[in-house]
Amino acid sequence: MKHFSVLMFSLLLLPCVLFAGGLEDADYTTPDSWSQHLTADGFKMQAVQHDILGGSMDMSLTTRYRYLANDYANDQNIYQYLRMRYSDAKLGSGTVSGALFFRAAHDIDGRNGKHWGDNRYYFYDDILDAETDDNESASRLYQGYLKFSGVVKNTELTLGRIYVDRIDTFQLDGADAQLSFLDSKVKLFAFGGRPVSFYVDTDDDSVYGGGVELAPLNGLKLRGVFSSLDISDDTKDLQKVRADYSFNGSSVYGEYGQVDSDGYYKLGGVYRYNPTKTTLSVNYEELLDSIGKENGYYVSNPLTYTLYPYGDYKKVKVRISQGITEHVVVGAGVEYKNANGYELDNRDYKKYTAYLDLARIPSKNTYISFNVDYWDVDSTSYGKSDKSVTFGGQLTQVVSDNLDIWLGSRFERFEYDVEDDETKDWIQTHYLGCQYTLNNRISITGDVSLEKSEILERDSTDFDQNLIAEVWLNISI
Amino acid sequence: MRNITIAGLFLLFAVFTAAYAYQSNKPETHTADWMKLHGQASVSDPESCKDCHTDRVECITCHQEVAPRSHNGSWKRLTHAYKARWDRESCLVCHKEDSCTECHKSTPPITHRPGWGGEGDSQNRHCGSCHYPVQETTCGTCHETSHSPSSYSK
Repeated sequence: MKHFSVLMFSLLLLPCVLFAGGLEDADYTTPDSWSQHLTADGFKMQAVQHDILGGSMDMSLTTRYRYLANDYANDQNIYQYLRMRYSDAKLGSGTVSGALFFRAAHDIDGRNGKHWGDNRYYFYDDILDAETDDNESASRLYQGYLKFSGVVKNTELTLGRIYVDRIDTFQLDGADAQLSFLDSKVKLFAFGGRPVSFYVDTDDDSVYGGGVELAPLNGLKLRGVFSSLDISDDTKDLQKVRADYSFNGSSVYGEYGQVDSDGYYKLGGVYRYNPTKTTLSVNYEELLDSIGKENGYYVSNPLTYTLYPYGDYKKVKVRISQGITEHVVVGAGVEYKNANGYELDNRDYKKYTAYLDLARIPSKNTYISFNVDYWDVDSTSYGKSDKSVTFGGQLTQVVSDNLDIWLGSRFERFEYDVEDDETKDWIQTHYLGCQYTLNNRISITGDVSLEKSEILERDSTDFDQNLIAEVWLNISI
Repeated sequence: MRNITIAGLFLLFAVFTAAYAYQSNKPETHTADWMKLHGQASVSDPESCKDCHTDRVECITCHQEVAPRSHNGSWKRLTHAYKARWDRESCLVCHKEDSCTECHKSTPPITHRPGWGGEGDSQNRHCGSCHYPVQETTCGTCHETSHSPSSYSK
């Protein structure tokens, strides 16, 4: 039945593609605040520039207050963020730039007297409580670096707490250096330092590596990276090669990587055909060898594409979206995973997706999206099959240059086994929020969401409805 | 909540007639589907992202600081375990295993109430006697080895 539905949906899409002409100018771009539907994130950078030491600097402070409550308990957290950017200060023949992003947090109520072994375990015990056990202010320096571009001819040097993007992304206390030749068609790079974790001690760990990036043709990029991890008195060598080719808004890629002897590869691309507003994306990945515990370190996870030991698998994703009129987009996707070994934690599944977007209707400043995901997870020798369906809608209304409003609903149904009893639970979440920009220095964001859950109700009716309210205040200095 | 929703809908209806049309400087690729496609694009060409996201704070806040809406109370309580079994690669978009360990070392699963694994008031947490070796069960996610019945340490 499910395969039939996908087939029918595809057949319905086909005439849309054939008859969708004259859509070159259709604009399906979402409002700037659209990401609020994914993450209730009230950051807003209003760059007020200051000239300092020959460069341009902007800085903002953001305060976030978070309140969570149900009939049993409540919790209040407060977060403070500092964001700074500095750019284009002349130094010799080049420039100096930099950035900093820092946070501190406080659980106002703490966890005193709320141990899990009490009458009911503390409902709002979360990662912030765990983090403040060892780090009272839960402070995190996400980044803080200086970047010297062209100070020494054809070089780029970044020092400090940095994110190194060399196929994978490492967060390091260290340095990343690059040397360019032949109009930047050839780049050599090296990086090294101590990996960053906000939860575990990395004092004795190090990561270093280097590689080459070639751009032999317009749009073509070839990269090879070697990295070595020295962690917990063990050393792991990682190698990756990747090719990317971009053309007319479309792109394809291929990647092969190896951690010691465990390998994987990925192939895929996105094809955009603008006259009919058609987008097709295809991704295939295969983990060729099971990742054993010896290769499952926290810092090598991004390279192995696993968390903890993991059995080898194959996964394919296909997704297509089609503009029908200048206001309507429909899309569908299918994802299939075939897994081996570690059966409990590495399951075969099929996932189907469909969505409908309404751009700039009923008014020019409205964007609406409806979507549904269906998971069909195969049984294993450890357990029966699981199923899940999620559907919902999101709406953003841009009221003016200063005010955005958003709301949405999400409905989830899980079918799973609890000690051989088939269990079906509904979870629904509704939210409403807005962001108001008072002037070029101050903005405020408010967001309220309510969750009603049969999963939580099973423990207690005191738990079944959960409120989260957040207020964010951004001040540019 | 129903009242909040109705009030929100009325508010939106009131502004539907406004002539104002939003302007965005975002590239035309940034449609609603971009949420699913931007990951590979950022690996293929990270420099293009930095044209606008100059200091990558938008990346950090979404991937490391603020949890997505899907991570609600039910997610924390139970459903994250299912999604982690089905599609653990997706967890890696934001998480390393240090965050799993950090939370689970102080917040046991909901099953781990007093008397977990034992009969009646017994404190005999004997999972290892049936689910052996624990490394090949879900126990192994947190417990590297069997532990003594009288302790809760790993």
